[in-house]
Amino acid sequence: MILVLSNVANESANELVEMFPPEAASLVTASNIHASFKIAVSVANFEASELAIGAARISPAEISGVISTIAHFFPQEFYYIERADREYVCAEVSAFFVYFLSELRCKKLNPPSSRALSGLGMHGMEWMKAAHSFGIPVWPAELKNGVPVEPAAREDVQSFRATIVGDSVVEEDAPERVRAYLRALSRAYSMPYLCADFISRGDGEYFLRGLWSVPDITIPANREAIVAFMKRAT
Amino acid sequence: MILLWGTIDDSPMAATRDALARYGADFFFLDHRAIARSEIDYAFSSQMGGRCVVRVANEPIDMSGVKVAYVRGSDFRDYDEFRELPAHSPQVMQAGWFEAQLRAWLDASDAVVINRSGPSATNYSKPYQMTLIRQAGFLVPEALISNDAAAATRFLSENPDSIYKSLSAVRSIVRKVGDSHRSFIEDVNWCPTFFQKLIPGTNYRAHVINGEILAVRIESDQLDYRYGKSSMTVAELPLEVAEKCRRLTAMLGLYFSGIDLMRTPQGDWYCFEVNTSPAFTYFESLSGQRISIALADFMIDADSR
Repeated sequence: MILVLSNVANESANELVEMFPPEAASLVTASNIHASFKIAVSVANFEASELAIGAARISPAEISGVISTIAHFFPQEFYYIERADREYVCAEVSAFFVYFLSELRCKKLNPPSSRALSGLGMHGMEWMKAAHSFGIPVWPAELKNGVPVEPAAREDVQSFRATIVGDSVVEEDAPERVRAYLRALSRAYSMPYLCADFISRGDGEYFLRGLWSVPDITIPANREAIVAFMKRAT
Repeated sequence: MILLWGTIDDSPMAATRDALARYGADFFFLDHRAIARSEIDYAFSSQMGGRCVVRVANEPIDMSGVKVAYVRGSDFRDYDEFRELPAHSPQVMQAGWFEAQLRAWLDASDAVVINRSGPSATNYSKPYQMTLIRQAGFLVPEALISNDAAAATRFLSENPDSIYKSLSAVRSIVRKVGDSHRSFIEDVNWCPTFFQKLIPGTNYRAHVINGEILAVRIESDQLDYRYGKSSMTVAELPLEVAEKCRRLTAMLGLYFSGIDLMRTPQGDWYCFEVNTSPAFTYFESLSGQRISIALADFMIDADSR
């Protein structure tokens, strides 16, 4: 079974689940955990844990992949919990999933970390420094109180987006150098999904402008690439 | 320069600041309570690298000079000027962004940061941390996480002496599961709950500061010693236990940790948790152990390199 972790408001998550064969994927959201994701997890013997996901009773080994489309749960998603307890329940469920996803031995898009349910939870500033250390040109950035200071629009540059899923770059027209940059970062940080904005001056060089590690499944081409990746992985 | 970022009414921060001041160390105290009057500018380019300047009441502080940082988080929403403001008000948003940006700057910097966000966040999930604790060579208690009342009931039948506590970093009083709790067992269906087999023995707390171990033995009339009459005496850990504490702290990527240990009557050592931002003054005041001095020593030494 493939778990798709998402937000109940993200309709693309249902579309993603439906792209897999019937019963092969299951959607997990903060809003349905109490009803359709029942767990009895043994911390000393994780593989012996018992899971009931929807109508299926399975062991952790039967989870063949995870697609985590959220970095965090939010208290307001636990609408069925009394308002005063939502922050607590949110923290507890988050703590559980960081552990649970980490323990699963299957392909994860993206693997969780102590900071996020998907990916390393790194600030853009950390990504820029990381990219710079790999020799990837970085477009000058400025933040004031956390808000990007947008430079004056320039007609001599073009921006574009490139997304890597596994070893494949979704955008067919992405330049080879950009593909190489994404592959280098994806491998170095063990993040099979990365999405980046680049800037081109038209001289054959490409500058990284921003980078995200939580899969964006609202884009149909991304969903197709993710399904293909999971099918390869399983 | 040493940066202290927190509030002065937080006793570990105050004790560290006092220790640094007594040493005459070069430090700057960035008051978290001034966050409403604080601004942060950041710029990055391939040519220059990164640059970060914080302004408090228009006074600039160049963060590039920070070689060591000690950070103790506070929730600014508890401050008077924020308490009545809605979550999406410009003031709340700006304070949140300020925090995130300064945290990110420190995380990405080459400074010795006590402690960085990623390692600190391991404490947000106790079972996640338990995996690492086991990898470091410690015993961990048998435990169940469940949102299924029937499974929880089975575990409690098999392990009648069990405790329950939070999975996350939200503070909870560790309590033995008693008959009164069993009548609420159906509540487990609404939230994953953490049950752990009770391990009898003597509590120890080890503070690890860049490899140096400061341990205390704790006697208490309560299961959760933080909420009872407790006494502490300075203790020396067996060499192999001390080594596991060092290994665990290093594995977690921490410079400073507070490790909760239990020695059983049989001489086995269990580890329950690693506090990644230890409120060490509680232990300092009850044991006389000079943890703040050791922390200041480490920071001054790191700053001088």
